Amino acid sequence: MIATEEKRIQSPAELEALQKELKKSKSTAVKSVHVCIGTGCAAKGSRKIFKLFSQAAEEMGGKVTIDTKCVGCHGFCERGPIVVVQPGNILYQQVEEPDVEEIFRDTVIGDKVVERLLYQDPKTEKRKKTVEEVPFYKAQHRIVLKENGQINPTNIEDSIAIGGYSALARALTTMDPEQIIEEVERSGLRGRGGGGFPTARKWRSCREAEGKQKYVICNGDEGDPGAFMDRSIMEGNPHLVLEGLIIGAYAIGASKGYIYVRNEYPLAVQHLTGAIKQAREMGFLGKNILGTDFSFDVRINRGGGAFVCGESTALIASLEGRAGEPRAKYVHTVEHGLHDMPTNLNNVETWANIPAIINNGGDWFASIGTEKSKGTKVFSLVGKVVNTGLVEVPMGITLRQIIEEIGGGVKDGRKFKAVQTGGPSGGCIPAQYMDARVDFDELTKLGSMMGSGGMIVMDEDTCMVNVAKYFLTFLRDESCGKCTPCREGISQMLHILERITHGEGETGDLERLEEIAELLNEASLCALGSTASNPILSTLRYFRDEYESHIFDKRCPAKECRGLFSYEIVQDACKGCGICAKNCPVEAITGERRQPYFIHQDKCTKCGVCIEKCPFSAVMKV
Amino acid sequence: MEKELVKDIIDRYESDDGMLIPMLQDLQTEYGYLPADQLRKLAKQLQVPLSRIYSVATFYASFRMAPKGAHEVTLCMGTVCYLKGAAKISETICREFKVEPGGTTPDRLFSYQPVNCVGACALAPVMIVDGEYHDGVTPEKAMKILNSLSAEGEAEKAPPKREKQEKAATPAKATAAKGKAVSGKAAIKTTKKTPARSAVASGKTASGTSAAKTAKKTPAKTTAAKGRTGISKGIKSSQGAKSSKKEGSK
Repeated sequence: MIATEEKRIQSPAELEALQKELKKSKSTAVKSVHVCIGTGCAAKGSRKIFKLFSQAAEEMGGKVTIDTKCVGCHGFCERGPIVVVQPGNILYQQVEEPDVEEIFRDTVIGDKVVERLLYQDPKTEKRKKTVEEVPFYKAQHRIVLKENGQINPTNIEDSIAIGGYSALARALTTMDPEQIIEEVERSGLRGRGGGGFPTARKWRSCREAEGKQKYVICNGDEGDPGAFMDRSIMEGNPHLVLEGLIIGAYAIGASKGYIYVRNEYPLAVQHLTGAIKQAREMGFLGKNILGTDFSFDVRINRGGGAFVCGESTALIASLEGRAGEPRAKYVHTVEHGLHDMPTNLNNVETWANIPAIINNGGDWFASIGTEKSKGTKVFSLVGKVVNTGLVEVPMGITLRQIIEEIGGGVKDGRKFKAVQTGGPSGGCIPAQYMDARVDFDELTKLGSMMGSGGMIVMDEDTCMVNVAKYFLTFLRDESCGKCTPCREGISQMLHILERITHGEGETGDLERLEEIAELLNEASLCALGSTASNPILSTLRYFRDEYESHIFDKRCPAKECRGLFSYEIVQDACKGCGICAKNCPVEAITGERRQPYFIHQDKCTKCGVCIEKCPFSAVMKV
Repeated sequence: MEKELVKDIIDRYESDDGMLIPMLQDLQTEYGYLPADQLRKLAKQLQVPLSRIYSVATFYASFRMAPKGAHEVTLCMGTVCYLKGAAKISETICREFKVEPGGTTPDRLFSYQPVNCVGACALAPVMIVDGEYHDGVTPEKAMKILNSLSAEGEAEKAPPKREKQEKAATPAKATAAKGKAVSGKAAIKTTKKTPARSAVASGKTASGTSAAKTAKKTPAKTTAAKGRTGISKGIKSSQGAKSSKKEGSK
């Protein structure tokens, strides 16, 4: 450990010297064990595993230096807890407490690999030894997530050792603010929060706006259900976000910054708080950063649990201590933002891209991706997919590559139906567009959007009307209620959807939905309202037949909407145990023991208790 | 100490009313909820209208206006969890424990809060009990976990506390019933916020009897203490809970 007293770094040269020293001291360890403590792995007990590894390493005493550390999310959450042993980049998955001893004995002390804990390719049944060999990682291109899994997020020295804050040093001492903005402009970086607004243009407007105090804000209010990219970045590499934010503040001329983190992410708050404290001690925050004239400080605000606060003006209202209601867009936040001062707000992932752009140059960044969408994007690939997790891919990759190559296809051999992108404001993309290239404009053309990067895979058992209803319910609960179109429009659309899923749909309902959707789009105050109809419009566009069969045939093709399908007992499979009849709340099932039972459809309320309780899977949805 | 708490919190943020939300969060960390008298104190000392504090406290889903139960149960209702059956789990919990989303069970065993997404989609459906994440939850598994809560409580708690809790059960039940009756139409719009509000309203009438008063205070305080360790230690403490649970089941 380096001495903890007065350690403010006064110049880039000092930082470089420290980096070299740290690198040297870290490389003396013969082996290192990295245990993932992201929320996914931690929930499966990875902290205990880390403890066991540490104990084992300690017991070795001074014989060999073994470095054990907890690291941020590796992204392969499906197979957690993840343990990586260096050198060799050997990836062990689904590690449990009893496995620790074996890994330690064979791989850490010895040079053997524990075969059974390696990832097994389901197609070839071959074990994959290193991280690079695993198909989940193979097609990925990691910029933002690169250091996740390599560093201990609670230790700034870890970050410095692999080049953390070197971009800041370069920016502060060799570039003037205008040059930084030019570099970002050259990179073609667009906002990763959803809208895809060119980052450099936003920065420039804010820089040019007049005001005695300017602010930068990092939006970590990742509200989209099914998205957890920002959480993993904040948890796994808080310094990267911080470094980007400081560089941005310098370019814009801001002296105060806020990081707004969702209340549901306690670990992110904890790691960011620690990172800020350490960065301040090191002289990356506070007065005269790295010995220059530039001063900047940042604080964390926890969100209150309101989805609408992901919207920039609502977030600003929340930072001002008011209810998070958005305001009209014609007043730009880059001119009149927080406390009516010029304010630049970017998403976590946007900020996290900045250090790499400064270090490698805008042209390098622009060489990745498509014509209008540059760089990479982190997606959280979730839902009914084999490999759930975080993936970072270059823009322009096809949906098929993401879902089939990286994601390993649909779970349980079911058929792929659609992928939902963009959260509640996005839409569902059906199978025929699997070869569409993923970038900002392409997804918008398909009636969905990039959003913050949630990608939810749905299989044939998913009712698309029900999906639309889910998102509308979500949006109705989260609408702040300030503007009438959003508040009343969403309620009305939901009302119609509810009727449809209850089998009470009427002719003209679909047209009415489209009419309200258009109105919402035109008249809502903020993006929550204007995009609220996307879930309905996109499902109507691609799955209109499903809506129609709900309305006209009173059938739910996916057999999900209660009342629009019925339960039957398969005579051959029924053993006559009588459990279903015992549990039926309305006594709709009769029969004699050891004889097949029977469901009386006239009495059945379709509650589904029988199918849940049947030990022989003899109840079927028809 | 209590008198100074509000002042202390205000000082932490240099009397900046822009920091109202962090202040309320700190207050909630101390009490487990936002007590009306403390909010009044805050309004007075911070010199902002009580109405503004109330509007903020009721706007954000994470603030609660009524004391919470001994345990905290959070169910993720994110898209993935929903697709994998979270709605059914929620239905089961509400039915079996007679609790409304955002409310507390009549016996104050746990507070139940469905949330938008906890961002642990690989674990879907996820239920968080006192900071401990449970993955792949089904209605049966949820019931098992929640039923073991009561068992754990019985094993851990000293008898006098239990007695008080049982006493609390009667007026609290009345509260719940009242809450349901009162909420009616309002509940249709925001189920999240209404039960809390109605609980406060009916809680006031219920507090006439001293039994209700003491009952109200005791569990709340123990919860507050628990909540604090839970937040600071995070997953660590939840592991403690895990091991103690294992012992209990043995």
